[in-house]
Amino acid sequence: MKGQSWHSAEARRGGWVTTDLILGLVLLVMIMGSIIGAIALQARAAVQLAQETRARLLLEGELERLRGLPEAELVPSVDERFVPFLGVSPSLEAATFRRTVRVEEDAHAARVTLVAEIPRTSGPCIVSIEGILCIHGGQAR
Amino acid sequence: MNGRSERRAQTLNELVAFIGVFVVIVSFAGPAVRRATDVAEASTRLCRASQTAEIAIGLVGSDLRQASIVTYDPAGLGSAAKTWPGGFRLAVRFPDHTAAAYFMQDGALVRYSLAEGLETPMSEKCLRWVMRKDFEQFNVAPVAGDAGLYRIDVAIRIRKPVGRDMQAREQIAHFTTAVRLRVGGSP
Repeated sequence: MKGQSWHSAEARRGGWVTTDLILGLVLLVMIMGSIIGAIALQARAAVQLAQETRARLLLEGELERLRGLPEAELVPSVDERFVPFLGVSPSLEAATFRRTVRVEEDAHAARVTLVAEIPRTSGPCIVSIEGILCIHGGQAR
Repeated sequence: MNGRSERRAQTLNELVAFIGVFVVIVSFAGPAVRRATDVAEASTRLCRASQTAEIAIGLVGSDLRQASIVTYDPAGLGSAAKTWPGGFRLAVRFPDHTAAAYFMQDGALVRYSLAEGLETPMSEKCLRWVMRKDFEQFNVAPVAGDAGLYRIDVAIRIRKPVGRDMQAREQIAHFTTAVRLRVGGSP
């Protein structure tokens, strides 16, 4: 009887150690997985930030180009697609660029909204800038 | 006595097994963790590069907008500074006759303020402002067919310090924009 009870206690103890071992390993894998996941998330965020910066700089360049356009070329439009004149870097090839031009009633100014839509798995990222161009002597400034 | 030694042996076996499994996991996870930290560092550098490019472009753009005269070298601001005698690869003169000049020095973008009437900055009279030392290229050139519009191209090195071949693991991040002179100006 005494020998039997010792064996069963030992078996229970062995079982507990195995369970502890498995639990410890699972915990280790979970911790490492979450660290690697967080780093991957950070890397993706950095790439997205660079993309957004590039898009914003392209839009600012486009707005600067519009500032020198003759008044006749500054036609009102709503969500008109355009290709930035500076060219699109490979990281922004999937992005779409839209332009909205509203000429004010007195025709002395135009409100320009430039939007870049970058597709993402979590939904599109919108980068937009807005500028008011003064129309002087037949030219936007 | 017998039971105690058996228990000891079992504990030792479990310990050896646990250490074995741990070593196997660490040997597999080690490179993954190293790779992950490299990725983390590269992404941090990419974030900084984006911010630096925006700041540098903002400041150069602000100078260009106010400039009355822009002098530039089509080859851009290379690492060799002061290629023009008494001048710089990019210099802007403002309507109040003061000026700002830029050049690249050891990967840093350096801006000098020139006092009125001076062609070269005197060390005691220049305000020196240095950006991060990771600039690969900084180009300012007029856009063909559009007077007064200047294209700015910035390339920033992003180092991935992995292994011994640091050069092979460098990546260049490009940022491009354009700025129009407000006052006037000529190349």
